[in-house]
Amino acid sequence: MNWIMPLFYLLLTVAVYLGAMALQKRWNHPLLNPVLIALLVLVAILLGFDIPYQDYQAGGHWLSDLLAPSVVALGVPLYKQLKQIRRELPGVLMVVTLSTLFALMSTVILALLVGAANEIAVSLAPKSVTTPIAVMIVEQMNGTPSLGAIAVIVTGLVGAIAGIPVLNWMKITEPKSRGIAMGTACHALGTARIVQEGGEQGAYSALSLVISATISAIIAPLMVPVLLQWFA
Amino acid sequence: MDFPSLCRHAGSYLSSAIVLLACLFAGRWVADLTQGVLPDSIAGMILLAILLSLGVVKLAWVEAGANFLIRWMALLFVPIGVGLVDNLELLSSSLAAIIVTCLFGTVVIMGLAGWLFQWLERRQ
Repeated sequence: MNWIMPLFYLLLTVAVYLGAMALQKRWNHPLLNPVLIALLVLVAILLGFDIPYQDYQAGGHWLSDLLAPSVVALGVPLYKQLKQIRRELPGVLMVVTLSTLFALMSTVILALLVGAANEIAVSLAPKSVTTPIAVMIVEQMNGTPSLGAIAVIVTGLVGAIAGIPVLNWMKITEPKSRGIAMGTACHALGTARIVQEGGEQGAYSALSLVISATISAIIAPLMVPVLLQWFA
Repeated sequence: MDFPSLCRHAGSYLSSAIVLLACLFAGRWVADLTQGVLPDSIAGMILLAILLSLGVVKLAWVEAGANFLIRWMALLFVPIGVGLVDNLELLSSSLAAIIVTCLFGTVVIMGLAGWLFQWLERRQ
């Protein structure tokens, strides 16, 4: 019988998400982002009924486990745009590399400026890359991995909620640039949002996510300690 | 839906699942080789794009399942996000730093990347 509650939590998650999607369709407000609404409702349910996350995740992990194959699935839009991407690869590489360096630097500096301890600044540094890489980077730099994971999720949520309004507001209208912006700043969660706008955006977002994750994994452990010394 | 088309439908999802999982497992191997610099899912994504462009894997084999997963990808993040409940103290103790970097910083990074590439495109 120990599969009933996990199954219930799984169905509950899907039901809450579908409900949140219906809300968004009805009022079409950016803050009615299905991920955000589902998250708030489920967190409220867990806290309200005193359900340990571990119990919830016994069902929820079925969805989390599909994340890795769904990232693999991004290979399809990537393939469809490959001809065009091959021509533009030098430009994409340059832009994403620059932005990733800026992301690492600005995050550490901003965190230190608001008075965060070194350990916290280090943990926030790789917030723009996908969770497994971010956690690995944080561990290498002796930060707090769970704080790193939180920062990654919050960053992704910001991208999913505010990404498209911000891109519109900044008049970044060109589809490839929209994809690159989301993939570089908001990893797979931002990609999941922008791919709904179009395959071209999705492909460039997936590509940027790959590049920024790789660059961060190589550069962060070298760069961040130097930054901390400067500011010490 | 009649029976043959139902079978074709189920078959296309089954073949998608096989291809995606095969790429993921191959990706795990690449991840071990690169000692985690490329995680298994990202290595698998690159591998799938390469296999498709080489013609080793046909688009028709993966398209149905891949499109389905991509359409629902945002939902897949929800359970991980709910994990925040286990870390509420950590979240509130570094709230200022998180808000400044994850909210403000992220918007600036996004703007920079998008604006830079758009500028590059329009210059050409």
